[in-house]
Amino acid sequence: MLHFTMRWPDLNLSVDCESCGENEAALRIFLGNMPIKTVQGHEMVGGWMLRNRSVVMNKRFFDIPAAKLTQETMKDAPVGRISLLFPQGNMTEMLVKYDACDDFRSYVPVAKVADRDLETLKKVGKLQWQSATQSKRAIVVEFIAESEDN
Amino acid sequence: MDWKELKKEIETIAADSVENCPEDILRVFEYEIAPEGCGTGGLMLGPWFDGATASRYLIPYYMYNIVKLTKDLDLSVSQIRQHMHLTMPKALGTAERSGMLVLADLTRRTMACVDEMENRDEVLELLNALYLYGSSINAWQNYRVKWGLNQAFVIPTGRELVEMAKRADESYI
Amino acid sequence: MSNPAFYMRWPELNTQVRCVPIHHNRELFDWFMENLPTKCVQTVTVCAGLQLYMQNIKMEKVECNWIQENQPQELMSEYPVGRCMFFMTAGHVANFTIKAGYATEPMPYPTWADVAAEDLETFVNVANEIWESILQDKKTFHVEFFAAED
Repeated sequence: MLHFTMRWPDLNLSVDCESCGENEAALRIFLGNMPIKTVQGHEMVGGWMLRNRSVVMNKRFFDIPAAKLTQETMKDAPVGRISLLFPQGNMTEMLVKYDACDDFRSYVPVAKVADRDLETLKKVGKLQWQSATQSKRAIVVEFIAESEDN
Repeated sequence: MDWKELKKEIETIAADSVENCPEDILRVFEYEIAPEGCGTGGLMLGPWFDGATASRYLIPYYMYNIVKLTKDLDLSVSQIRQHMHLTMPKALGTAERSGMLVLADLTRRTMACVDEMENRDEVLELLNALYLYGSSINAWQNYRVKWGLNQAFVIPTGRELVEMAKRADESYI
Repeated sequence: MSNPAFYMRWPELNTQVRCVPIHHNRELFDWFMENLPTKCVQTVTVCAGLQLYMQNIKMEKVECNWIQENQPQELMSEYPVGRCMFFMTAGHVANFTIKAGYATEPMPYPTWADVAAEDLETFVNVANEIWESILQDKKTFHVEFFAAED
């Protein structure tokens, strides 16, 4: 099973993530680029999702054609789903569903937050929402591959 | 679907949208009515900001490039189709989620129609109709977006409140 | 027609100005004239500087027969107030702007007409009035284009 950790040092919180069984080749490319650090954002239209708008993949370019990736709407995805948007070259966006959303747009599912960490994920989501709409305090997220974490 | 009927329908709406504010713009930007579940946390800034951006990508950027490339590089119908399906769906989804329902409906039907068409000139006639309508949406969004931030929080007038209340049941917020 | 020109008329303001060709891109001017009369919604730009902005002009009679990148171009930040440029014009739809004050955008565009010198003051006043409207009361303005008779 492929694993990685999402960590928010500013919040002193982290969640464990694992493959969701879909698009494992895409997840391997993502893992091959870790550690990755980016600003943690929030979706503003589709519902309660964390959104990272610029996840840089400089070590290993994303070269899987869109037609070879399966897609899923966030409306139908379970809470904890981690999906990519526009993965291409050295860049992708990433969304993490942490609560209900009606978003019918399709994304590329690659992983899920471990069930035991879903409450932590929700807490991060609410804190980021406060940041996006009130405090404007910047929050950074780090993606760390399991092997590097140990 | 008869492409001529669709083209006529789009051209009628496009002609009206030169004179009058289109329904999508009135609903979302003036009356603040968003589709159910759209606008995380009930905030309208998401649909306004992302909806306007996606609409601009959908037609004035993507459709413009398709029409332009068809002229410049002599794209075939199958290349037009490929270009359309590679570029437009994501922006279409965001525009639709943000309440640009007429634009999204006409775009979906145009894409479905083009999928079944073989005559390049006819395809271009249909795409040009949508290009004009989408450009009108763009122009009206440019006008109706609350550029002055005070406009986002202004207290509506009595007349505006009556107009908004008449359509309140359309909004989930 | 020996001295070709067209009028821009704002019916809501009961005002009009005359526009004439410039030193280059005469074929673009002639193409526009072939499609008159026409009209569209009148707005202003909000990023590049103060310009009148026309985004949905139907070119019903003759489709666009030129490519922006192949035409002589001028830098928006440098060309004079009252000058017209086309952008994102294809098929039967034209987009163009007319510089009405400062513009900081250092991008080249195919310029093709000027507001006549005697009408420049009127033109700038119109642009300022529409700028005020777009920022505050949101009154709608249209602009009509028709050929000037010799």
